[in-house]
Amino acid sequence: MGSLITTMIVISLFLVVYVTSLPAMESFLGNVVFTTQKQSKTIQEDLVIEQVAVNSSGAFVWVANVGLVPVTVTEVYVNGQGTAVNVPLGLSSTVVIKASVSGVTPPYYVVVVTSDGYSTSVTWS
Amino acid sequence: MSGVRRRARPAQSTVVGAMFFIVLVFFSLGILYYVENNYVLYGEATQRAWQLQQQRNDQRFTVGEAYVLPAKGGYKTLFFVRNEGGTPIDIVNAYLCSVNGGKVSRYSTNLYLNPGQSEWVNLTDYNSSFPSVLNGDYNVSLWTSLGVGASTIVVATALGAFGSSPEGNVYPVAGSLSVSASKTAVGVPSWPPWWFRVLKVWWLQPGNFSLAEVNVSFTVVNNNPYPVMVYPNSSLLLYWIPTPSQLNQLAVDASSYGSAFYSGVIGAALPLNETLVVNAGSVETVTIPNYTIMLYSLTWYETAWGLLLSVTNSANSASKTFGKYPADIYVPIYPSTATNYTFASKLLLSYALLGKTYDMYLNIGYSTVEISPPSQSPQ
Repeated sequence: MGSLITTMIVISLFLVVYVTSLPAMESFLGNVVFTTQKQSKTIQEDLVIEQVAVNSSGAFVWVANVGLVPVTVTEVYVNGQGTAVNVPLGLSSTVVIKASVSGVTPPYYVVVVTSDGYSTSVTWS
Repeated sequence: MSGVRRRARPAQSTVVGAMFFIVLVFFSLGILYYVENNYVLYGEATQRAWQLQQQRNDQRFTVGEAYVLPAKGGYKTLFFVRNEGGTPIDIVNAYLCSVNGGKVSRYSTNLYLNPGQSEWVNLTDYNSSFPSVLNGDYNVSLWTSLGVGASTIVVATALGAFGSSPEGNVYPVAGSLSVSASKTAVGVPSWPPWWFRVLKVWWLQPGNFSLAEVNVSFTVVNNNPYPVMVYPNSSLLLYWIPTPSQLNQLAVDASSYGSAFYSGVIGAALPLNETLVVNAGSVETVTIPNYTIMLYSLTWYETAWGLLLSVTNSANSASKTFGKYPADIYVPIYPSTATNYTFASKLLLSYALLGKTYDMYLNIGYSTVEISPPSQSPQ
């Protein structure tokens, strides 16, 4: 009888501990996995802005993917004027991205941002 | 029953507690493995990114010199690239950008250079079209597949294929090959030296009616750190530069008689006996005597009057052979009024630098020929 009661107490404690710690455990694991996987991707992203041209049609930014993973460019800033874009960029590929600008004058501070938050910038005079 | 001692059976709570402990241990190990696995993947990614950055840091190359040369259908842009880093590089992108930033052309290249290796990049080899006319300063930048770049400035003041730039159409940037030509006339039988002079000729019956004989000399200044070889197939070229109205007349004639004879260049090989080697930092002057500029009048299909021009050299017997209609330049003339015709002279040199051969055009000067009506008979 005493053993049965002890067994019940142990199992109850296990259930209490499991149920109460499960959300925290899931959150912890989720953060760890999300953080490490995201950082794993972000750290392999690498873009270089190879050329910038600004004329009456807008700003044209040549971006090359020199990293280890494909990326998606989602934002281009030229002297603080942002343009939302959605430009997938495969490995070792180069694209020209047009950004809408008005009244900007050199030097041009150009920032390119990816969907994972990676960004690179260049000052083009 | 005596002497046999049986082991006591563990209590049920002990078994359950042990199982609970074991489950907790495996559960913790599973979490640890899962987390560790993610950190391993993160570490591998970091390692790859670090290695890539190391390779990038080892890449270093320079664009030593650059030229913009006129070429058929456009322009040929040459760059001398040297890999000065400690790792191989592959140049994948080249940009030609006006310095004011308004125009950019990107060209895909595929140039692989080992450490210490140098190479000429010929952009016309990699893409089909160049701007037909380059003017002003251009920034040329080259990029490797890892995102390492280098650039230089090319001053391109060239005009079109029949350019009128008296400085010539070669625009060295850094250490370079420059050529200047002098115009020395000797033994002119019937003309004054034709360089930069306004000539006056009279139209006669079909046939040879005027000639001039000159010496052509040019000086090669080699500012490269390497020897340059000038090949004997250098040529003197004569371009007819028609006025707009003459161009219009050409179009009219072309519709009537075809356009086969409306070519724009005449020329003949300079008789360099052997390859001229100009050492690094040296200056060499070459003189080729007895150049003859001949003009032929022509009755073309007995309906259109024309003028044929030819360049020959008395030392080059092959260039003295003409057929009935030498494949030179046909210039339509109209005997009703005296008309000026302008010709540009260019020296075409083929030279080799670092094992590759290039063509260089040098504008020498311009001549204007006045063609008078046949009623004004020659003296």
